Amino acid sequence: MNTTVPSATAELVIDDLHVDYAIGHRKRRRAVDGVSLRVPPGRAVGVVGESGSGKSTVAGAVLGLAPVSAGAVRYGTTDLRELGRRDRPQQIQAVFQDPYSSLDPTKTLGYTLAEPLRSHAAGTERGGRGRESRTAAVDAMLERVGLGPEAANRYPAQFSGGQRQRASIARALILRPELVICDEAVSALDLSVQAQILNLLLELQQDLGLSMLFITHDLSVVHHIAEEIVVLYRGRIMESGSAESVCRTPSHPYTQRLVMSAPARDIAVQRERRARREALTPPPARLSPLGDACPFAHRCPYAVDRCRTERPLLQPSPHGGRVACHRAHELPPWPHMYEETPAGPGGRQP
Amino acid sequence: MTAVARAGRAARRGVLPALVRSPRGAVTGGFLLLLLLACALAPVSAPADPLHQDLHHVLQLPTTGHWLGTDSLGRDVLSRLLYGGRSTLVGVAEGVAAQLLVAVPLGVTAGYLGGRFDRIVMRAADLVMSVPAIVILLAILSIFDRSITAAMITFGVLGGSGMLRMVRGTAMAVRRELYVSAAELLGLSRTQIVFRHILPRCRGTVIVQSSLFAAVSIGVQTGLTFIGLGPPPPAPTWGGMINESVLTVTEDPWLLAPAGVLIALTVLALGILGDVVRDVTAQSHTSSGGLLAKPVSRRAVPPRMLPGPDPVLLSLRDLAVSFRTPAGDAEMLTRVSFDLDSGQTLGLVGESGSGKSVTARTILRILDRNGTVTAGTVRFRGRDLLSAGQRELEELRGSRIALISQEPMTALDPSFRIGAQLREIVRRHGKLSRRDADRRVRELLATVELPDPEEIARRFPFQISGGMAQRVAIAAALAGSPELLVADEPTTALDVTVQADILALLRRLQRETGMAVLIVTHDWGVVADFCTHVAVMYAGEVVESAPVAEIFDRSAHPYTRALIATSPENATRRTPIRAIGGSVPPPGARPSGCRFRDRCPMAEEDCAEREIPMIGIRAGHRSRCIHTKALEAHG
Repeated sequence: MNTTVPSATAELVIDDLHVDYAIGHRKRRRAVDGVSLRVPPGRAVGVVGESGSGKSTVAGAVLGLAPVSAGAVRYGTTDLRELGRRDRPQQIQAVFQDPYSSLDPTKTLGYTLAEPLRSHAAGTERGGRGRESRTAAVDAMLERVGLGPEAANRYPAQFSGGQRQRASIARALILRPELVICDEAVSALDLSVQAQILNLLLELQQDLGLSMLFITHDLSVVHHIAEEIVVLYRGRIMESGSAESVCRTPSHPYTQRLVMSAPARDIAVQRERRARREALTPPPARLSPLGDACPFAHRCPYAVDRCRTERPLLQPSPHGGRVACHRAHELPPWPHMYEETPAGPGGRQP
Repeated sequence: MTAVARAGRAARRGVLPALVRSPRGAVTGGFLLLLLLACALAPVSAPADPLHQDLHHVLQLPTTGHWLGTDSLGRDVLSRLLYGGRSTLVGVAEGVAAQLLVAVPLGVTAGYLGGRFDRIVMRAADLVMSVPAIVILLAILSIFDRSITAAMITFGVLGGSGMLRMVRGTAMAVRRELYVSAAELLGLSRTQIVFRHILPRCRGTVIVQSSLFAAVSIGVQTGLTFIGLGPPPPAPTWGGMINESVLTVTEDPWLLAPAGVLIALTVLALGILGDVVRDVTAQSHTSSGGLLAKPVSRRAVPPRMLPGPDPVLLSLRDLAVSFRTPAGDAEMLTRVSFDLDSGQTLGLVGESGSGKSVTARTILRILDRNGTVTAGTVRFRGRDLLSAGQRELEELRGSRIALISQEPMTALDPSFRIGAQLREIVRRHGKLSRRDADRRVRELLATVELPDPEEIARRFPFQISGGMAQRVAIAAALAGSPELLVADEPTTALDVTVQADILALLRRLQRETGMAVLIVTHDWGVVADFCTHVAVMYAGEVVESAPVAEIFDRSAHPYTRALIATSPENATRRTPIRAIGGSVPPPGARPSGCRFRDRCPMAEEDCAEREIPMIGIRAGHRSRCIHTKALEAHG
């Protein structure tokens, strides 16, 4: 890049967010139930959860794609809830999951990338004046994401999934945003390509000083890229804290179950993880209704009556984060499974 | 990048050259262009005055003076056709223009905006559709003194509701695409989004609808002039000429031919041209051209029975599969060989494009229509599956080989209760009474650990979760007590906690029944958890096969090692992962010799020299690498 490195200055604040979706007439389903999180300038925050956890809805609320029923969503001093599409701050951009539908198939990459520069004042400010400087900006961005300027004349169909995801990242970055929302940005990619894209995102985040909200279902991905992690389950925060502590010493039984369920890439570790998981699996029970209960009570090996009648609030956890569990301080100690992972072939550095 | 560069060049071709290059486009386009020019230049191109009567030469067959003969008043038929064509073609253009002006803006806006605007527009369109167009046309013609222009514009507007619906449907689909959301985030206005992203995607629909409408409006216009509602005689019109020829059809049948054939050809040409233009414009931005080639006939593999009393359960030898694509035949699988015996679990591991799913589908003989086995054998207990007849295959597939796939929901019919669907399957495997079948269904549902079998059996597929659906699919697969279960990415679409449950279930079932499992996966965790043996695939080949512990601890192929190391779990947090550069080469772009050598950190010159065979490393461990010594020294 030939210009100075922009760096995020504002903080994304989500406070007590509630999102309800209408299902049919008069029935509503609560997708997000009192979620609060912050993305400080230049930080990478991960939101991890399974389907139905509301993680993508949180992203949608920031991007104006989901209806906020209550709570605050602010970027710096800008309230993001009631903005029309024209007023949305261009400092916030997104990279989506599906590399196939996230680029217009009828437009060349060059056109797609130049479009925002041409379209509004922000583009002019950011070096978009005139056709030549636009082309230069597009070429530089394509180079930056590892595609090369010759990609500008081609259509999305001529690229592989990984290359398209690079192009989506280039489009998200062309207006020099401060905050990038990555909604399952590497989930549809092959393992080797996923590693390339993760490396690219990490490098861009560190070089450009971007803030990043990284949404995924994959604990190993979020553990790798995020500094802080928020664990969602059925629309509520179960646990939050540094990536290190959430993944290595999970305090919430749900997070523990997530860690135990992700199969390790090592036979001995996986055998132990599986045995532990099976020992801690209660008999199948019906999904308990949300409300004044812990949403995980029906699957929790440690659940007591209180868990089914009283909603646990976020409180400081034994390992430095915050956890929504009545029994967080009574749970048996957690073995450090990530730490026990021996180096695979060519594995971790010491 | 060469393949991409080639495709790039192909894409930059204009629509017109591509149109001329296709035979259908060249013929129909040329015909319509010729007709248009001849009619437009009628004063020059017509051999005679269309109104000049020559009562000495009436109803003549074609002569050198009158190429298409003369009519009952001795007028030159060719000249009248050309002059008549002017009003016809102008009328068509007016009709199409009116329709485009009304239908496209309304359709796109309604589809993109949705909501109340959409509802109002659609109700209006319904209203217009329910009005009988011919009645309105007759009224218009009487009000506007037989003006074909007025009639065709009216017809265009009335017929527009069909196009409006189509365009709206397309726009609604495009609105949900992620790139439209991305454009909104980038601050583009609605107008910009409509013009740049929504309209271009509606182009195909608009082209086809316009050409169809043009064809229809020629018919309508000819009909109107046929019953004398167009310009009054003696002005030449196509419909009028048909009318005149009908009056003299007993004396001179020829007169019907020129006008009739011309109308038919024009209608036909418009229809075909619309199709071709749609395909050509779509081709400019798709890689494949979007056309599926017709299936290749399968080369017969001579059936041979293997000797021996109890051959291995499943044995693949040198299997090769090709797919026919518009760009030519693509070899998806080359020399795939492996064995799988009872009680074992073989993990077929690889990235997309490695051919792992094609291998699984070939075993079950459910390849797509354009795929064909070109060499090799697949044996199941010594029986050649590739030459098995349809009947034998059905019997094997149902009972001895079963399949579970990535999308269990698609295997279930949404309009029948789960219990009824399972009962069908159960009864196919044995002559059971309805009551016994129901009992067996409940047993199966209990076997796959569904909490309340009775209740699940009463539900419809859309009332259960993805994890439950996969359990139901496994129950269906177990109905015939299979010896081999082929599982094609069975947990990829599931949440990680559900995946762990399903894997635990499969492991328990395998322990109890002793069946063999062939599991296709890209997840090393699933391999570590579930497999006893592994075959790693890359670019259509098996590059390494070994017992699972060997693969993780002493892999003898650089690709296997690199792919395991590329898991984020195996890297230090927030530092670059040791990624493999590049991507899996598609068929046609694979390097000679070792197919991985372009991306291999250990590649030497001799890797390119010849095809690399599978080399035995240890008992049961084979690798397609000639530098395994260096690899083992490397650590």
